[in-house]
Amino acid sequence: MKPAPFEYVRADTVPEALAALGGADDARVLAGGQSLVPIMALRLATPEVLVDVSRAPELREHRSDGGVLTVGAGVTDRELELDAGVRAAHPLLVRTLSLIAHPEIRARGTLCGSLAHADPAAELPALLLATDGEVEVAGDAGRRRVPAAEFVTGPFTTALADGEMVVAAHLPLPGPGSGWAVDEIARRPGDYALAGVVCGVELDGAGRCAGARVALFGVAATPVRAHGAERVLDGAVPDDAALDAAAAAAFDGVDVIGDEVHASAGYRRRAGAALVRRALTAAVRAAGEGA
Amino acid sequence: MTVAGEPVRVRLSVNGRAEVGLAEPRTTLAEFLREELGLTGTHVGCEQGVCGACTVVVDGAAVRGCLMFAVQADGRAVETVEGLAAEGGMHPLQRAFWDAQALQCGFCTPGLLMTALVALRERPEWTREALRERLSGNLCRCTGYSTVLDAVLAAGRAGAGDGGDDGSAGAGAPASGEAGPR
Amino acid sequence: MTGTGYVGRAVRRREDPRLLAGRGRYVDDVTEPRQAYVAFVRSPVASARIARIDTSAARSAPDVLAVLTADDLAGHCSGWRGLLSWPGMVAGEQTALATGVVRHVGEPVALVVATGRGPAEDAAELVEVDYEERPAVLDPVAALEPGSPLVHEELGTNLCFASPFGSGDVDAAFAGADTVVDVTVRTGRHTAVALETRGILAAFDRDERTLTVRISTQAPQMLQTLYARLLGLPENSVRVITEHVGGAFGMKAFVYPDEIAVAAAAMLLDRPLKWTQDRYEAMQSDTQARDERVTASLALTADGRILGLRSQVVSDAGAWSMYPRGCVTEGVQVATIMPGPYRVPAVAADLRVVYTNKAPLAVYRAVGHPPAILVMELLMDEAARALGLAPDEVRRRNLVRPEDLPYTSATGNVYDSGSHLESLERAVALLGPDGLEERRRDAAARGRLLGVGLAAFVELSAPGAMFYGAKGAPITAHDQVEVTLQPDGSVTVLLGTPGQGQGLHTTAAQVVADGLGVPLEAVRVVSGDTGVVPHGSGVWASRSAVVSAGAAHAAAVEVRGRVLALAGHLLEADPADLELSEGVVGVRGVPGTRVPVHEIAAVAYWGTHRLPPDLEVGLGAVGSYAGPPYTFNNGTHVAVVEVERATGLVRVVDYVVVEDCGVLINPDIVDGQIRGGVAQGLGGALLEQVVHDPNGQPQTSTMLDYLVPTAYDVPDIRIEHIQTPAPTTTLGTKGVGEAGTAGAPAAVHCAVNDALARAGAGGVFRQPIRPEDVLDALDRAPASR
Repeated sequence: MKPAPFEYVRADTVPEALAALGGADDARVLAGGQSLVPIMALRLATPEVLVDVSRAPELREHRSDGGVLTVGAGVTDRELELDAGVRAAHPLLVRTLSLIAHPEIRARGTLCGSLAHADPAAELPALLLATDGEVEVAGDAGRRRVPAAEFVTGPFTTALADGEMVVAAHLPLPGPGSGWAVDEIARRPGDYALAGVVCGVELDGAGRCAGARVALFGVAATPVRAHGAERVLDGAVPDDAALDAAAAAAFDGVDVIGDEVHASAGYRRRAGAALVRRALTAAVRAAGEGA
Repeated sequence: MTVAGEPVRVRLSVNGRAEVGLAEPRTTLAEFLREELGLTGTHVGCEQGVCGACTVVVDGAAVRGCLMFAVQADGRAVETVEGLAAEGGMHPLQRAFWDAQALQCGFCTPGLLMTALVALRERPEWTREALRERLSGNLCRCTGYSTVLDAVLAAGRAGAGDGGDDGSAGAGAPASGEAGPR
Repeated sequence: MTGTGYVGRAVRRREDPRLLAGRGRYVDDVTEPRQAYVAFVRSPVASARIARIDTSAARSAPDVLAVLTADDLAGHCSGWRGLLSWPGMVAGEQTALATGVVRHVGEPVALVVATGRGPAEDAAELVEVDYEERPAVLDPVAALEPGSPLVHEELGTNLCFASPFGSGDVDAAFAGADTVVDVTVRTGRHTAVALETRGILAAFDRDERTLTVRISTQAPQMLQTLYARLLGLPENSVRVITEHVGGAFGMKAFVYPDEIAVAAAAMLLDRPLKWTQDRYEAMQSDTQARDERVTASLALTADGRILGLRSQVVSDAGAWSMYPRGCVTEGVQVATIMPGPYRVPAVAADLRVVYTNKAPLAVYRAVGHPPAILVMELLMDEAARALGLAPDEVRRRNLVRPEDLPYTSATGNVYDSGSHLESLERAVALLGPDGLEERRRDAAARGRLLGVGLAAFVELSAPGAMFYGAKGAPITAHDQVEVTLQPDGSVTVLLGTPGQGQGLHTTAAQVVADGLGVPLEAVRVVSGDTGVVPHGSGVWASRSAVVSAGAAHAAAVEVRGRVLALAGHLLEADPADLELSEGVVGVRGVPGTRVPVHEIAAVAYWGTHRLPPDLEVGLGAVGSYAGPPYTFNNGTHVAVVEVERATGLVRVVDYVVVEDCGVLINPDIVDGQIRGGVAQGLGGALLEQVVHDPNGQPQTSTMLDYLVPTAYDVPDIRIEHIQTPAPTTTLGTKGVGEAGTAGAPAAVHCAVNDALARAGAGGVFRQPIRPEDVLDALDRAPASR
């Protein structure tokens, strides 16, 4: 289990990184490497060049500005998780990060790396989807922002074009009056989710749901919005009956995957619905407390 | 820029000492420590980041030595199990592991020690339940973990997160003190 | 015994300071000058004929020293069959590298030697092998149908071994029964997942014609014999070194084809070769275990007394009968251990062991006990439900009572001592049944179902020569230990059998310190080098606390006798009046006479002019001990689980063990064995399973897919001991190393089924119990929400 040989380039700036990416047929960005290195060890990935961006100063920054948390591609999960400002501004993110693997993985793993890797079972792409975040991408043609819903295009595939790289993620901060929750089912702590959900509920003055966002992960080829659940909740008083109905509709239209090793599609659907119910309850409670 | 398959020079600090060695880009930090620097206390159990046996501390954070290339550690400060105790002494964590019999075959032990060290630096007081989850990324096939929890909790009480050894010279000699108070 | 009393004390382990400092010496930690590295080309398919191997591209790759196939090793390493003299057993001939046919994914086909492991793997990718794929045999029941493809065509059958076991009139028992309950149980295919993977460093000295093999194994002397035999060397020219071993659990007790291929290659190439297995290889080529399909029925009277037990066991052996232990022990023990600690007057078991295209099934901690005990305890719970009895009550009515001892089971096992009934009563008391209702309510308030499961068991430990030796394998029952009193009064102990983390150096030192009469600190223990230590049969089947300790005691007592004889001469006293304790010789009734043992020892070495010529002066002795045919420890486990209704996730929240393994040499070491054993058993019940796809491709080749328990999954375990001394062993000890693993799968499983039953749901009858099995059971329940 040794990776195939590769060239290693340490890029201190984004232009340096782009130049290196453009200079080889099969170059890949190395940030934390916590997903990439294991598949390289199995030789499921054999890049010719690894472009290490983890030390580029401009990618090492994160900041909250105008209701948006911007996280550079070199920022590790653990740095975010332990940062007092992030903990205060985006507790949902911190809770989501805590579900990823183990602290020793999060110490190297990056938020942007998780987005770019696009593992269907990963938490962060679903968080970005649920909260309408954006991925900032740099390429030879300059920079562009890709909405979360358009970024992940399939299992382990994204809207990144050849020669492009993720430079930052923009995460809108949950607003007042909304309540959010994240939850997942895993056999052991840190294992990939058999089903996971990030959800948010906004309540109006009358206690009705003014908007609901439900994103599922670990159940389909990509993170998916649970539109069925959202439609049930929109405009409804989120009482037990409404939450039951929303949970029951969460998998409508979702093409659920399954496997023999971890869980069947049927299990993901059944347990996932119960998970959605539990998370919605928590989100509604949080929304009520925040209002 | 490196060339595939060609070794490059890596300079780093290991346990407070400047070290230099050659590594191919594909050489992991764990492999570099073991094969190039001869520090074989860091063990490799899965090369997938799952078992935790290779856990070392890089710039204060516990990380998987198998999921980091040695070239990425260039210029970093690395701590390994070999640096835990001063010569002839025992770190309070090591002593607590010995007292609690928190090891059997010892293969997972270095990684567990380094994870526990960082956990105790983060905060000295842990509930048993929180510690279970905090240590759940280090797999042990021998002990069933409860004596490991005992040891880390005891070491926390003894101030193991503050660093340094306990100054009991000779405690590392295998035949001494084994019949000590229990 | 001199009664200084180290035996029975929880002294700290002398192995630990070195391991804690990161200065262990596992195989991969050692490097030889001119060492080169090996990587294997392994079969990517479950069943195929090898049409062609082209190694030319690999040979010309940078840094490559050699590429070897079966043809290259033929004539340098003999083949073997993993046969034991069980009547009718058949086994195919195996070679170090696959010859013409591959029979499971991961089977070694070619070996690449390069200057580093990375380049060796690079070149392994360049070896071209044409596989003519054949249909894989994956289901052991279907494999017995006429017309099934054959794993070994030369054998003409997939049936490795079939046999009935048991005695008594089972037909009459069932005919006369008031109640019959039955279960059909499937246990998962496991693998040991020792944290240290297998590995070997082999070096051949061309001048001396000696082979030195540093290897991660449980049985160095066995390998010495077999490597010599297969590689064509005299046994005195093979040296096997085993320093630290990072876990083994039965899996490292074999001649593995990849390992001996490395040894053969080192001889052929005249260069030290190292191979360190990676985890991917481990998951595909380490021995596997437990994959049993069992149907069993229990006949009872209306008041819950067992009349008879019937079982059919199908054991999925995988592709090879591993050398030299074979692949039938697991199945035989499933069939013969099943009656367990219960009085079962009639047993009829029917065993079939079947070859399939999977990695070989062999011994793994508690061999056969987990499925056997699981089936019996599930039957007991079914009986309790059928009869309206409490689970503990139906067990109480059938457990072997003190007055029944010695008791011979219907499968021929003799329980000479034990506390079968008492262990149940103490376990129930330790659980604290009075608090259960409150715990149930508390769990229910959190959406969880609380369940309690009992497992009463016996564990066959420390088996004697009949087990393997009488069946033709070089696996004996006896161990040797050499004890030498040095001139300065320090003591050197050479242990024939090394450990893999069990703390055998510590327990041996305790036994020797007591037996000889010296301080514990004076004793140094050495093991793990067949060039230095006397014979040992290795660590397996929970034998060391009986056999190795017995040998250590024998040697220590012999040396003590020699010291006292010498002291008698020097002190002009009758040796019978002398005592030796804590390193001081005294004369009984003469308090003033106290001579440090080093003064006596110094005379034996350097002052022999003071001694008469006929006095035996050597202060070293080899003790040998074989022990009884076996010992049976016994105990009862109680598991308390919480089952989350919404997700089906199970968590073990409380665990009680009452264990009787006779005299404890070191209580902490015993408790460590029990805790670790329970953790492995819990893993089997809830998490661990090797899964293959319909083509025989393993789906669980990383530790993200094969799930072993974490610190979160294993509860704290409350342990109590009953010490019923074994009447047949030197120190009254019984083996215990596997007892935790034996009982835990049943206790956890019964607890889950109890939780389900309380929700009106039927049980689950397969392991591991996955969350989805739990939800399926709850969904089927009429009372489900």
